[in-house]
Amino acid sequence: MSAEAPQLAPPPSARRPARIVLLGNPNAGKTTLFNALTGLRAKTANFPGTTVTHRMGTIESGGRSLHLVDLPGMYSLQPTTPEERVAVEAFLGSGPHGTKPDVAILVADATNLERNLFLASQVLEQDIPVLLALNMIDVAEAEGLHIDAGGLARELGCPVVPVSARTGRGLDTLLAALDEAVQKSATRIPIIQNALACTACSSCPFQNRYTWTETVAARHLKSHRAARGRKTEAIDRVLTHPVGGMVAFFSVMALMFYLIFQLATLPMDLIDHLFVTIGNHVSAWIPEGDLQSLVVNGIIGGVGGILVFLPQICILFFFLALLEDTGYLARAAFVMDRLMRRIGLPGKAFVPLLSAHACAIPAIMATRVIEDRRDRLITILIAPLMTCSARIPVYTMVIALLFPSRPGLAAMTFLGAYGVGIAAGLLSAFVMKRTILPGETRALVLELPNYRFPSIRTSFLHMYDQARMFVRQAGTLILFISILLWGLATYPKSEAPPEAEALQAQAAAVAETGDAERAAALEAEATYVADQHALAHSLAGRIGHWIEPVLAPLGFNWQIGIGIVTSFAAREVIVSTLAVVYGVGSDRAEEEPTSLHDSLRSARRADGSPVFTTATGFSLLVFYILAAQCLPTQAVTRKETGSWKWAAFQLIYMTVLAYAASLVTYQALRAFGIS
Amino acid sequence: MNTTLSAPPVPIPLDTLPLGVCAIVHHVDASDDDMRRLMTLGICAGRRLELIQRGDPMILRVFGTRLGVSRRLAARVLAQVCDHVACPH
Ligand SMILES: Nc1nc2c(ncn2[C@@H]2O[C@H](COP(=O)(O)OP(=O)(O)OP(=O)(O)O)[C@@H](O)[C@H]2O)c(=O)[nH]1
Repeated sequence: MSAEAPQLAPPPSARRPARIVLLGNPNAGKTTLFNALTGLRAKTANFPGTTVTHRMGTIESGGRSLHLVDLPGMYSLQPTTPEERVAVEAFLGSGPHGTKPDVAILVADATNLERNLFLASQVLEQDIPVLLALNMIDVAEAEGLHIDAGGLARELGCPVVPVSARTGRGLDTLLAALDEAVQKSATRIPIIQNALACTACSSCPFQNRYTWTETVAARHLKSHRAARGRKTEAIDRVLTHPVGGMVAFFSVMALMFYLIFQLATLPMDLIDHLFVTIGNHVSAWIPEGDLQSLVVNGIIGGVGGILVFLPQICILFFFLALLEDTGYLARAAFVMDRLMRRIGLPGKAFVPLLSAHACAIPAIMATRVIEDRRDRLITILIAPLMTCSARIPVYTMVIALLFPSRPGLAAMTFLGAYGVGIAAGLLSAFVMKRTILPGETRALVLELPNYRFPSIRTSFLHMYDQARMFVRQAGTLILFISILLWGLATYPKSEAPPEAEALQAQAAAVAETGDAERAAALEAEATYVADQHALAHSLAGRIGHWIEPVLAPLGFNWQIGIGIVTSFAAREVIVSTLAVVYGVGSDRAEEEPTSLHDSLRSARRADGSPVFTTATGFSLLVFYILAAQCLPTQAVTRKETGSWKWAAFQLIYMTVLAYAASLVTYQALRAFGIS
Repeated sequence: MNTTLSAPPVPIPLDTLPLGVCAIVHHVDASDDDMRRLMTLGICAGRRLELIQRGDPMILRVFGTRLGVSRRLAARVLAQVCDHVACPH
């Protein structure tokens, strides 16, 4: 955004690329038109100082560079959500570092001319050249709507080009009109200002504008009205029905989650495999030592640990984009509104909270649809309490320890863990709504757009954008944290213990006799013992010792303490940490989990009592349900709320909640004699 | 409900409107924020609308599109059933 000499209009041939914005009602097809105009040369960026993103791209046309910006949707120039405010500021050039665009392309949905012309009535009053793209003309014609573009252009005083962004029809004409508008950079004659002059101001300042809009739309629109929206109405009779809508909603969501977990297994295995392979190759290049360990365990392992969740997240984004595109997401918010309001959240909070069951990070990003700041903040704060994928390995391990031979009870406990997460989230929302963030929930006012066939391409591009954002936001931080945690678990170094050396010697002796298999086993045993010793004496091990007094009331010993420390950035790490702490080796624990479970089950405290009692197991489970052990989530919370304060609050309240709940669980179970 | 009197009908809250009947918004009594949101979507004094599904939230047809509005808010919008103006819907 270069500074521009005020008032003096730059000569038409100026080298500076012309700034073009695309604006319009939500769902008018701005993004589709933008993609059709720019191809895939676009990139996503944030508006300065905000988390609101937009796509932008540069094209060459008519001998000039055109810099296109796709703005978030808006209904009027009086914004009601943060996204709308940013969009309006970017259009008017009133934001920070803002300059007025050279030309604005107003994208209007031809199937819904009235509502779209309302925005036009405001946009045309600004001192900015406007080009009206009458989009979805294909749908309009199929519905029997005929719009007199020429007449409309005369009435509005700006070029009107019928286009279909999806099929590409009319795009050439649009580009030609755009070139012309850029060349002339002429300001339109403000025709409609007269029409809108407030003659008899009624109580509604928009009254005249609406009347004007209706008249203009009626004058240029010839249609068979009856046909419009029939299908939508029929579908909505089921999908917004108080009972039927609920059933449909939960079926759709169940299907989505089933597919997320089903379709993601293969790519997740592949990614996991890929990182292991890379790790092995790198181990071969870099000589054994600290550097190898840093690169393989710290960097590759850490980054791979979070990237394995990428397939799930991509599938989630894709489905949400697809559902949004059909128009169904608006119905989901509609149906859930009454239920959600009981706890003080709007219906729009439901889908983000549901997404949090895959991963809290995309969920927090998805809260942008929530209008009210307080409602949105609460949704962000409680999202990480939902059981995300990263908790599943931990639940699996603990539940296998609790109920090794009772699959029924194990399954119930698993479900119960999900339930505890949801209940804790809703309860926290309820409490926050009445304490730190008081205020009435925003009442629902929501357009229910006509259903339409979704575009795979649009959804795919959307998914791609979101996934990139996820990798950028979570990836950079996780790299840093992985290195830090690797350091904690590696330094200071300690000598290999005598047991390890004895095993090593034994292995060498066995190898002499030719029993290679047994030698390798002994060799591995030696490594496990050495790793265990090294971890126990590292900084992480010491921290485990230091915090033992704090954790003892929860039934945790210092070994579990190490697990909690090392899984501070990513929960699932506790499984491999415990494998090392108990001398199983994380590679073996992965191949045969029972070896880890056996060893954990037979672990004894100093006084000879078992480490993993039922009470400790439940306490650990409760702790992992509630604790905020995912620093990338806090980073995203900071970004989305704009302050570290809320990220810190999230971390603290969840930790306190986890500690208190584990304490109660452990002490209660012990008091009832279950241990 | 459908009066045939020539006197303008009394404004009633939106949530008590009969289904499928054209009505004209008489006045909106909500917080500034809610008022603005209703207004930008086409619910403001003088506008025509129609209730097409009861419940909470309910569905209204306004200005060519369908809007979901929670009952709490709809109750604060008063409208007159119009039997003399031809409704476009
Ligand atoms: N048939 C048809 N569909 C279109 C056309 N233009 C857009 N669509 C579809 O309309 C839907 C919405 O388009 P988007 O480009 O996402 O709309 P948008 O205005 O960017 O929406 P927001 O980003 O939500 O404000 C998508 O399913 C598009 O495929 C068109 O010209 N013809």
